[in-house]
Amino acid sequence: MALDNVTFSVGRGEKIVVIGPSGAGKSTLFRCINALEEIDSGKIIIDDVTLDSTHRDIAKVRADVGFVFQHFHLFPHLTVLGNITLAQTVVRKKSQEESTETARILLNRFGLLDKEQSYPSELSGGQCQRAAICRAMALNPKILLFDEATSALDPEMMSEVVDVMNLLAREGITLMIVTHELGVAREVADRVIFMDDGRIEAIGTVEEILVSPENERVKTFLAKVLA
Amino acid sequence: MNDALAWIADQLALLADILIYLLPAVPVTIEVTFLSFALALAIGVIAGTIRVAKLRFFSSAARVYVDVIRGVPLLVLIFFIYFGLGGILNIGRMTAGVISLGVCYGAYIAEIFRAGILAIPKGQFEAALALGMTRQQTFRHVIIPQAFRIAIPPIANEFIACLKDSSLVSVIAMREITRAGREYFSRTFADFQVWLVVAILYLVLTITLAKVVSIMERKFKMRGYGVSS
Repeated sequence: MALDNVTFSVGRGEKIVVIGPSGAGKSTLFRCINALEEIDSGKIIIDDVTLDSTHRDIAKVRADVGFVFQHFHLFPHLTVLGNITLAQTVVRKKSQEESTETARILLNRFGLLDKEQSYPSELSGGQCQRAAICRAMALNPKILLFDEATSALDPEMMSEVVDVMNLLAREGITLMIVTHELGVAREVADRVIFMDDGRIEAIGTVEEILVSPENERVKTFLAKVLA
Repeated sequence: MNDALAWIADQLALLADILIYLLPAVPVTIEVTFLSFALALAIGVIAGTIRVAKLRFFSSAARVYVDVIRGVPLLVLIFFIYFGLGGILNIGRMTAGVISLGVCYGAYIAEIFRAGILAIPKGQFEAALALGMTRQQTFRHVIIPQAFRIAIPPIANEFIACLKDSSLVSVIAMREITRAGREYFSRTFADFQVWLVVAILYLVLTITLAKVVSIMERKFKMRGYGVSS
C-alpha cells in the first residue's frame, strides 16, 4: 500500500511542504491529486469538485492542478514558446495570439524571454525547469504542485528555481511542494507535512516540525538529512 | 589493337542503346515507388498508433495485419492482389502494384512507428495529461510528432527498400525498369549488358534518394531533438 489513510486539507493561498524519506509516498500522493495515479478509496476535493475513481472529466480538473515534474518533461519537438502555448490553445481553447501573450508575460517574469525560440535541448536544467513552471502557470491553475522540482538540478541551478518558488509563494498562489531541501521548506512553508511509510506522521508549522520537532521519526529523519 | 577498340566502341554503343530504351521506364519506377510509399506511410502510421493505443478490437486487427503481411512473400502478395482481387474488382496494373507495395510496406512501417512511439519517455505522456490534455490530444500534439522524428531514419531505409522492391511489379507486366530490361533482353539476348545498365539505374536512384533522405534527417535532427533530461 503506497498511501495509508492520508487525510489533510489545504487552504487557498497556503503553502504546504511535504518532506520525508524516499519511498514515503510523497510523489504518489501528489500524483493522486492530479489523477496520474488512481486511488482505491477516499476522495480528493479541489474547490468543491470531487475527484474519485469514477470522475468523468478528469482532463478538466487536471488543467486546474499545475504540476512541475522532477525531470521537467518539456516537449522536445516544440520551442519554449510552443511548449507554453500548446496547452493554452488545446485545453483552454484560447487563440494563438492570446496564448502567446500570456506566455511572454510569464517568460518575462521568470527571466526566459530571450529563450522563447529555443528548444529544450538548448537550455540548461534550471532554464528548463523555469520553462516548465511557465508552462504549468499558463493555465492559471488553482494549485501548483512541485514534485521534487529541484532534485535533478545541481546547486547552482537549484537557486534559480527556488527563487521562482519564492516569487510564486509571495504572489499568493496555493502551493504544495515535495522537496528534500529543508531550506526551501523553512523559507516558503506555512505548514509542513512529514510522511513516512505511506502515512502522515506529523503536520505542523515550520517551528513545530523542523525547528523543535516532537515526533521521534521526524527527529531521526532530520538528524540523517542534516548530518 | 584495333579489334579491342572496335569491341569497346561496340559495347558502349550497346550500353547507350539499352539506356535509351530503359529511360522511359524510370518515371514509372519512380511513380510506383512514391505512390506505394505514400500509401504505406498512411497505413503504417495509423496501424502503428492503433497498436499502441490499445483499442480492443482495432489493436488486435492491426496485429493480425502486420503478422500476416510479414509472413507472405511480397511477390506472392503482388500476384494475389493482381490476379486474385484484380479478377474480382478489375483493378489496373498500377493500382494493383501500388496497393501490394503499399500494404506490404505499411506493415513494416507500422512496426517501426510503434517502436518509435514506445521509445518516447512515459514522462511526456504524463506531462501532457497533467496539463489537462485528453489521450487523443496527447497523441496528436505530443506523441505522434515525436514518434515521427524518431522513426525517420528507419522509415527512410524502408523507402529505399521499397524502391528496389518496385522491381517486383515487373511480374504483372508493368513497364518499369526491370520489365523494360527483360523486354530488351528477350529481343536481343544481350543479357550481361542489359542487367548492368538496369543495376546502374537502380543504383543511381537509390543513391540519390539516400542523399535526399540524409538531408531531411539532418534538418529534423537539428530541430532540438535530444531531450535535456
